[in-house]
Amino acid sequence: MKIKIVFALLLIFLTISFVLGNIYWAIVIAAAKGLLLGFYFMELSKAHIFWKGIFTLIIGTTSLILLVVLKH
Amino acid sequence: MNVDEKKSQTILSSKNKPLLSSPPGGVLMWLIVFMEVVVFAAGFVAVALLRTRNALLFQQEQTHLHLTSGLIMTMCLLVSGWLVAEAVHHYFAANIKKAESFHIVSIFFGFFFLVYKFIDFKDKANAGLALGVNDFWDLYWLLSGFHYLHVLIGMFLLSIVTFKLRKKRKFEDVDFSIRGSGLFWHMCDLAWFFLFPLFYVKV
Repeated sequence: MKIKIVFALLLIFLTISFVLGNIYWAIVIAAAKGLLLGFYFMELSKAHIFWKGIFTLIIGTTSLILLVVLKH
Repeated sequence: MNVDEKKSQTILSSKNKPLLSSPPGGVLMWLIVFMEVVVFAAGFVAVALLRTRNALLFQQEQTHLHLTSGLIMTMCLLVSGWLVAEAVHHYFAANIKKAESFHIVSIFFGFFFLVYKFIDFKDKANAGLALGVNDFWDLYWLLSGFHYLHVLIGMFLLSIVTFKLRKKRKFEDVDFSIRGSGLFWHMCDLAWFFLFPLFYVKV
């Protein structure tokens, strides 16, 4: 059930961001998808702190760089 | 499900499994995914730089890309990713038949993406929008082509898993096969989630 909720939320936010044509929101949603992949879809538990950390670091850094570059 | 698979399932569902060396899907697949994500990230930054530094060129060339077709491809990968997540969940809940069905439908969506994108590539090539025309199309072909190859590999992995599920064959490494292929597939749609806005959302 949770997978369906997560999927539905992604779908709604994705559609909204593209209807608005807002690239910043689209990047944030892509990052959220990335983190969901790491944390939820792949069932990383609290115990997998190292993998969570690495994944957050890569996705977070990429998204931040993209947002900064696009903004300036 | 045979005894070995039941045993592995019990082991995998345990909350107290080794942490660093055994993420779901196996260390090897996570390392592959990390490396691929880093390579894609470098490409995304290059596109973002082009968008801001040569906005006029970007705006002009973007008229050849259609937001609706991009959105259709995004939905395909998103739905496919969700179905794979469901398939993994069902497999480890011992609903093998459901896992098989979800895999088949996810492959269908992946295949639809491949065909749709292939037609898109063909149209662009026929219109003379190929590699070497300008920076926009260089980045478009390199990144979309790189992503396309990943989707092909992902489809191949999912097809093997589905074939084995259908034929009730034993997996040598259940976690690597089921979760690992799912992880690779999620990496494919993650990469597209970044590619799509960068190329398709108007400057």
